[in-house]
Order: sequence, then structure tokens, then C-alpha cells
Amino acid sequence: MNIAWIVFDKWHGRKIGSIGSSIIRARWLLPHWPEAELWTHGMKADAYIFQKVYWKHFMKDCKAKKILDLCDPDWFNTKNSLDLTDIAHYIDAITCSSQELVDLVKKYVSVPVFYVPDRVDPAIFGEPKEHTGKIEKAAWIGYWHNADDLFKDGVILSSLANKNITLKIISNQDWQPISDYGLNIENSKFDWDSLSSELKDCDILLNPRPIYRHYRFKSNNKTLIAWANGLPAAETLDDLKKFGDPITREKEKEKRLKEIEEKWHIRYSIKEYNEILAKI
Amino acid sequence: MHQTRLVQALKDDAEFYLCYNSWRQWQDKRFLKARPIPDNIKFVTHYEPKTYDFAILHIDQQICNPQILGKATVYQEFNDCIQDIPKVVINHGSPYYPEFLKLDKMTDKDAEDEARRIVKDKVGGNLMVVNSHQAAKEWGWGYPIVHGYNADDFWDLPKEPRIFTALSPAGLDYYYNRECLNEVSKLLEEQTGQQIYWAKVNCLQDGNFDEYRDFLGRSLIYFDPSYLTPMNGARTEAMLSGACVVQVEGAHDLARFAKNTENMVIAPNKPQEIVKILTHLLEENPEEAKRIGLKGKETARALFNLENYRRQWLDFIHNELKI
Repeated sequence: MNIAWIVFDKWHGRKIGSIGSSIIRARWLLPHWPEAELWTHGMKADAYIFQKVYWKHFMKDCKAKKILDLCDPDWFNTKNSLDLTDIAHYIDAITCSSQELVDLVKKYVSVPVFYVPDRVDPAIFGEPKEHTGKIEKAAWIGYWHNADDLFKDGVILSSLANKNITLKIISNQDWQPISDYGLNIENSKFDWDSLSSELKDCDILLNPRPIYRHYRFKSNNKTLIAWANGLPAAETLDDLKKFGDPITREKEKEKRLKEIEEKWHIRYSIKEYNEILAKI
Repeated sequence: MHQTRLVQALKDDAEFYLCYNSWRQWQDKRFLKARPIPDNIKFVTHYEPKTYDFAILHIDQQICNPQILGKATVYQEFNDCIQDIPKVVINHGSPYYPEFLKLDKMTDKDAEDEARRIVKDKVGGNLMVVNSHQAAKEWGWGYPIVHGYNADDFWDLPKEPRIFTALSPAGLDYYYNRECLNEVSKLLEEQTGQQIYWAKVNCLQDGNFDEYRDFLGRSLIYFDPSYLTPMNGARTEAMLSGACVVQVEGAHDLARFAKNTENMVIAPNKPQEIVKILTHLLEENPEEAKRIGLKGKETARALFNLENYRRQWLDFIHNELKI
């Protein structure tokens, strides 16, 4: 079967790397998936996977198998013009990057909805971080406007300041809080090519995962990326405390790298998409 | 819009298949509102070899810029994908793109030569059609096919005392001579209080075709500052609507159809002079504007009609593609 991925970044004319979901959902998988390739204009395929691309007219006229791949509830946002129940008439299945999204989407569509998690390939990040000493630097990855939201109550920032931990913000823009509680903040421009070295410059990933607003539908991809680079991911301040010493972090690293091999490696996503395409 | 006219013109001669692309979403509401899709067109999701007689691809000088990912990519990928039939590239532009191509120490001519070189390279062995005789000269090659319209698509209605332009609202500033339009707008307002109505900038934001042709048909004057664009389509639509066209001199192929103060007013590329001309027509001699508009309409109907357009295309297909 010849499978074409129509990905958000390309379809919208964005630079490769500017849209994380296109990288994680599709571009990481393609080199390991002989039957699949990136869609180009005019190409014929047996199946199309629309990664966050809501191309209803194409879907309507296309006779091949079609999967809509979602990583956000984009119909929440007026600018996306996504009519979820309508577009579902023209596709054969929906895949989602989180179980929370699956549960919500299922309430509105009659086509099958599958959970295909975001996954990683540790090989692209090279050797994992070696941990020594106490935590000196914590990394946070994300769009800068989300940093305001996640750190607004000051609890995390003041806690880091008290522990004398530097916070490295790896983001699309520099971020500075209104009040920094005396915390040392480093800003680094997010870039897929330098992400691994930026992370390995730190001792832990800070990944608070709120359950409000759109965050509740987000996948665990930042945690997985941290694990693939050998970093523990702290979702809470308790986690930060738990991973304070390097031996614990080394143990966590080994545990999580094994977990990736068993559960979160991109090969499982390829297998799952192939199984879904065989079913529909 | 370009495709619409071609499909209309050859409706009894050919079947048309339009392949989906990510740059222009024809079926999207905003495009449907701007121009209805002709009935004799079929949409296809992919290219099927050995199905068609020839392919038509569209470009302009912006394909020189790889940063405009969509436009350049659409052409390149279709060009790579289609290998078994002749390809005709319609180049809608001219070799003027200094914003991107004119680097330090380059002359204007260097930048134009660079546009020619890149486009020549990208068009390769495909046949290239251009929209004016002047464009063929400026590119150095290409077959001119001058556009044609269904005259009944445009409405000559009782005229309102206003100046209208549908010049593209953004991008390619030099090519569209947008600096002139901005200066004329500023001077005109400062000196007379009159504003220029500019589609999608300060009026007709919605892009609805019926609203557009109604507004155009009721506009006494249509101003076109561009002189590097090969046969600006909006200007011809204005002529067909009976608007008095005020055109900056030097525009492509003017000598072939325009007579100053008879069927068009040809103005120097000098904003203050243009303001004088517009004010004269609008405030002192609207009857003259109406007369020129009427003659312009006759010219456009005689020259820029679908039958002439069809004949040019059929000749090209027969003589060049040997079909």
C-alpha cells in the first residue's frame, strides 16, 4: 500500500520544523516506513493521512482510504474552520495523539477513532545525558505564550529560585515573567537541530501538565523527548524533589529508555497506522 | 480566476480537469464567492498518466523565491509529477521582482536578468505562454495570448462619482507600482477630501463576485497605477463595466488598443499629475469620463472577448502542441 502523508507544515507553506506536530506525527516516522511518503502535488496514493489538514473538498473527491490525524481540538478555535462532524463524513477513520482527544471526538463522529500516541526515535538524539551532581538547570520547552500561563502563579518559579536552579526556556521567543522571584532564566531559541544539546545542557525537564483548557488534550510528547535524551521529566514540584540526586536520575533514565523501547518507539506508531489502514 | 476564463472560452472544445493544490483552494467559500467555478470543470485529487492531452501550469516571477513555499512548491511538484504529456506554463508576470532579486550592488537590469535566468531554468523545456506581447519581449521568450472575458459577466450600471481600484492589496510592491497608488491616495485626500476605493483594502472586503461587479459597474473611474503587469485583468473588467479607466503610461500593449482620452485616459507616472486628471474627471467633467468609459467598453468587448481568447488558444494548441 502506498500511503501519502499530507502534513500541516507543508500544506500551509510553513518551514519544516516550525510545526512540532508535523515533525512528531509524520516526519519522524517516514524514514522508517517504506510504504509511506510525504504527499506531493499530483501524486496518487492508496491511502492519505491528513495530519491536522482539514481539506474537506479533497477528501470528498478522493476515493482512496483516508485518515484524519488530530493532535488538538482545533474546532474549539474559530480561526481553524474545522467542522468536525461534517468532515468525518468524508474520511474512514480519525487518529488522535491523546486518549482525552479520542474520548471527546468519539462523541461527535461515527467513523472509528483510534489513539495513536506521539512517539519518539531515541536514535535521532544520540547518546543520552550522563547525570552528575545536583540539579543545577531545568529545561522547559514550549511556545512562549504558554509559559506565561503555566508559570503565572509563581509557585514553580519561586521553588526553583529557592533551590538555586536555573530555568532554561527553549521556545520560539524569549520569555521573561513579570516577577522572576530572583530566578536565573536562560532563553534559548527552539530548533529541532539543537534541541537535544539544549536539553542535555540541563538536568531535568520541567513539564507541568495542567488539566484545564486545551492543555488537557495534549500528548506527553515533551516528556517522551526528555526521556529519549536521558532526562527525567518533572510534572510536579514533588518530581523535582524526587529526582534531586544524580543516582535517581540515572535510574530513571534507564527505566524510561527501556520504556520507550517497549512502548513509545515510533515503530509502534507505524505498526498501528498500518493496522488501522488494513482495517478501514 | 485565470483558469475560469480559459475554461469558459474552451467549453465546447475541451474537457478540463483541475488537480487539487494546497495554494489555491478553489472550492473554499471565499474563492467561490469571488468567482463561480464553471460547470465544465472536473476536480481530480491526483495526476493520472495517459489520461490528458496536455497540462497547464501557472507561475509568475514569485517562483524565483523559494521562501514563498506554497507557490513555488505547487509548480515544482506538478512539473516533476507530470512527465508523459506536454506542459504549458502560463507565466502571468513580468521579470520585475527587485524586493527579492535585487541584491547589494546589483542594477535593476541585473535583477531582471536574474528573474529571466531563474524562470528559464524552472520552465525548462515546457512551452511558456504570457499574457501580453510586451511580456514576451521582456522575458525574452514566450507566446503571448491576451485574455478574454464573457462581456455579460460585467455590468455597466448608472455611475457613482467615485474612483475605484482593484489593484492587488499586498505583495510585489514595485511590480504593482503601489507607491504611486499610495501617494495619489494621500494627495487626493489632502487636496480634495476624495478617497480612492481600493478593493479588499477599504471596501469590498468580502470578495463577493456579485458585490464586486455591482460596485465596479457603478464606479465612474477606475484607476490602474500598474504598468509592469501584463494586461491587468481587473482593468479589463472595469472597461467592460463602462468605467473610465485612468491608466499610468507604459502599461503593456497599450499601443495595441488604447487611445488617450478616447477609450482610456493615459496618465504620467506622477502622482500630482494623476490627482489633477482624476479631479478634473470627477469634479469638472464627469460626462467626459462617461463617454470615455463607454468607448472603453466597446473596445474591450471587441478585443477582449471569449471568442478571441478561444481562437488564440486553439491556434496555439494546434500550431505549437500539434494537437
